[in-house]
Amino acid sequence: MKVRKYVISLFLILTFAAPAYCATKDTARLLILEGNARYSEEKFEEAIAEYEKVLSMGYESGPFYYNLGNAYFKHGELGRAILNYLRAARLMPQEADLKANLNYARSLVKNGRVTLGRNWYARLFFALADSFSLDSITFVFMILYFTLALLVILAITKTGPGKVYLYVNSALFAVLIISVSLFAIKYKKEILEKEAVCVVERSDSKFEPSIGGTTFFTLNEGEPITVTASKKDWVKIRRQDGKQGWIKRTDIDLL
Amino acid sequence: MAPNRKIIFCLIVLLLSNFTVSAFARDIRFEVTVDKNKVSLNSTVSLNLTFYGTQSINRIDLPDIHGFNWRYFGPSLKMSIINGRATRSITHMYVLIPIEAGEFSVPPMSVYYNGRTYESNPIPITVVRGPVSAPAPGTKESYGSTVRDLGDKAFLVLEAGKKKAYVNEVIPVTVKLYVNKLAIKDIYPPMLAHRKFSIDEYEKPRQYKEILNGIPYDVIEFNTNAFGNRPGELTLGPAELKCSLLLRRKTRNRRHSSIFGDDDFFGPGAFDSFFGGGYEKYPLNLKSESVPVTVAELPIEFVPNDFTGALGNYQFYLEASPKEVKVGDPITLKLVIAGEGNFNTVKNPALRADGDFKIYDPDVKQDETGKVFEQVIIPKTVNVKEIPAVTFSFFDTSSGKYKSITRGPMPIKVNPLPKGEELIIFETPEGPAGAARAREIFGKDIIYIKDSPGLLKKRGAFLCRNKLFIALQFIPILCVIFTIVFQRRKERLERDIPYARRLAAPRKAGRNLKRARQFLSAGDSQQFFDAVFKTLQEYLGDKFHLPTAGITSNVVEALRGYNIDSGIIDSLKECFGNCDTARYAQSSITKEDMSRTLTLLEGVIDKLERAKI
Repeated sequence: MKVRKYVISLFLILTFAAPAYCATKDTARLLILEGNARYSEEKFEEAIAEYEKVLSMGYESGPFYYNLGNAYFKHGELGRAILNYLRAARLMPQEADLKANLNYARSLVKNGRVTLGRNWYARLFFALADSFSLDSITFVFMILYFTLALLVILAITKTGPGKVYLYVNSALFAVLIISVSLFAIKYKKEILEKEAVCVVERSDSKFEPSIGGTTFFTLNEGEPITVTASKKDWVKIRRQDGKQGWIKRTDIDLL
Repeated sequence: MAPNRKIIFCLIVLLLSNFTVSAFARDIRFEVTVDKNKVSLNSTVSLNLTFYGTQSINRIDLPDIHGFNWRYFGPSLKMSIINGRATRSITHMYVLIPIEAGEFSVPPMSVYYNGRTYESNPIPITVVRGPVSAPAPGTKESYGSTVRDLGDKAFLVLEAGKKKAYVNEVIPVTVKLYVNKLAIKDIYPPMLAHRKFSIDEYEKPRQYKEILNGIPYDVIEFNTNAFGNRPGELTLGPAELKCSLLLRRKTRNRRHSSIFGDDDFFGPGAFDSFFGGGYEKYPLNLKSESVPVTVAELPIEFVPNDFTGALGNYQFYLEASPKEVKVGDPITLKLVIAGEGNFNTVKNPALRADGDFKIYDPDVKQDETGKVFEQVIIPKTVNVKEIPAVTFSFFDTSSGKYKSITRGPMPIKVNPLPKGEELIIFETPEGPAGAARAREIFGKDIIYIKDSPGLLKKRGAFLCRNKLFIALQFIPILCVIFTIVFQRRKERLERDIPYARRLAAPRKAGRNLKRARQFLSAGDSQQFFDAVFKTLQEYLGDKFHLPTAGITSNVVEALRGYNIDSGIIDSLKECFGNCDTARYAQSSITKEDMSRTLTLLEGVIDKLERAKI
């Protein structure tokens, strides 16, 4: 009896749930194509509306965020354009067109970019981390990890030349450590930390979460920040140069 | 200020002059400066009278300055050597103390020295009752927002050389950064909002000092040219300039004076930076006002036929050499267009030769003063007697009229080829030399959208958060652990014989017991007890690493030394006894005896396996 129940359940899932999943994905794809059509007609507001429907369905892809960023840019919303370019950069960091658009959009941010000075090796390491998506680093890590485990097993069973295994394993271990470090950086940045972008023209960052608080510094539209805490309608943010303050929740949008 | 109110006072300085003084006197310059133009009633203004090129001028008594009392502070001597040339100066410093609020002016001053009179300009000063508005302390970021935030300390000025211009006419553009006693670094070329204008690249910036309303400024001047692309009332600018403002850290309230005075324009010295730096760097964004420019379209009447869009005021010259050639020999035409204007609009004046010449594309050279087209032409026949006239037409922006300059025709002599030679003209796909291209100006915009939606996935569905992926990560670790355990066990079995025998004992006993059970079911008592006896021998031999053949009931007693329970010893003895009985009185053995013996043996082996020996 039990077995029959399981079989029936599985059948129902395969019959209804899987096609429903595929249907929503197809709908999302159609909405993106519809948005592209509106974009090519220079109806940017309508294009944004179509793209946002896909976002509300919970789907994402690198080209989709790129197109959404373009639509916001053409609509004159620099902050949301940069936000979506950054989202796209997480999924397709090597895309040349995306890099060009993001750099151009960043160049239009008032008062330029406030950046934290890093050593050359830190810059190199972070640039390397930014060259890969989190999934690709995870995949590379997995391949290295499995290969290393296999070689360790072969070394234990002594089925090959010991010294060669030692050298290969040492090299592989070093690469694995680097990939784990890159993975840790990406994981912290994309999952643990809440990155955001200022989406209003100017936002005053206060010393305390209240309108009457003293302004510490001012954020301009398109400036990237990190959210560290929240309280009612206010969020505590950290700018790239390390300065922290409270701004209104509605002034930013999370990546 | 009305001329009749001008207070002019002269000072005749009688000094013994020597050669050096007279040599310097030739380059004497007189400057009057103040540190600020707006002051509150309870504050003061520093007034400096500086004489460059001499240090021999004594203190000057100022006249009464309306709205102020004044006090002499003393002289300051300065000598600097720049590019091997010594410059000396003396500054007489005064303090002006406001006595009432209002708009006042330091009058123009006139100093007579060594037979020459040196004059200064009037300086307006505003005295206010309340505090003078200044940037709020602590709001460092506001420095960059507008010109007003930094008051008169740093600002940007955009100037257009012409308020009215024609489409594509050169409009000289100047962006000036004025800085007064501020440390500024990392100055980027200004960005100019130039919708409907084309902008050239900036020339190398100039740096100089300028006095504005009596306040000395360090100025960086960026020069370029703009060209209106479309007619209309256009707006050039605003210009925006990014730089970094260096401010002293507030924890250091001690301001050490510099031997170079308090002019901090070039930022703090290398020593400050090296020893931890007493300065903090803040991004500063200065913005100028925009400038209205009227761009007019070129008149459509009286346009010359050969007008190709050249704008400016030009002269046109035509040269040809050599003037005597053989058929097929090249003649170089040099068309020189000199003057002022947008040379990007000047194109090669066309030579209309009607098939008498083979004409090559010109080699173009351009500099600030002119454009030269060097064109190779080859006469095809001996009938050619002259190079036809060439006309260059342009629109003269100063007079607002089209003008045409015609040069030629130029007579030439074309000789026939010697006998046996024939005319061959090689066609080349390109011009004789790489033609100078007009500077290409690239537009800026974002790159178009992607047609493909890409690989859609659920938001936040990262591989590293997939449960199956996480579970997979344990497999290599488990495999490695299993391999280590397996390998160690394998090595011990090969190395440790007693251990290997002890480990194999229950397995072998199990096989023997199975055989015994078969004999029991078959009722073959002899075979059964042989199997039981063999089981006992092999098991005990393997378990205690003893020679198997020598194990009998007598040996069992020796097992007490292995700390075995006496009940087990008794059971073993009973098993051996049963085997002996069966061997000698086989007929008295029943199936129940066999079964009991087997159960006893299984129990003994089980207990021995459980016992910690």
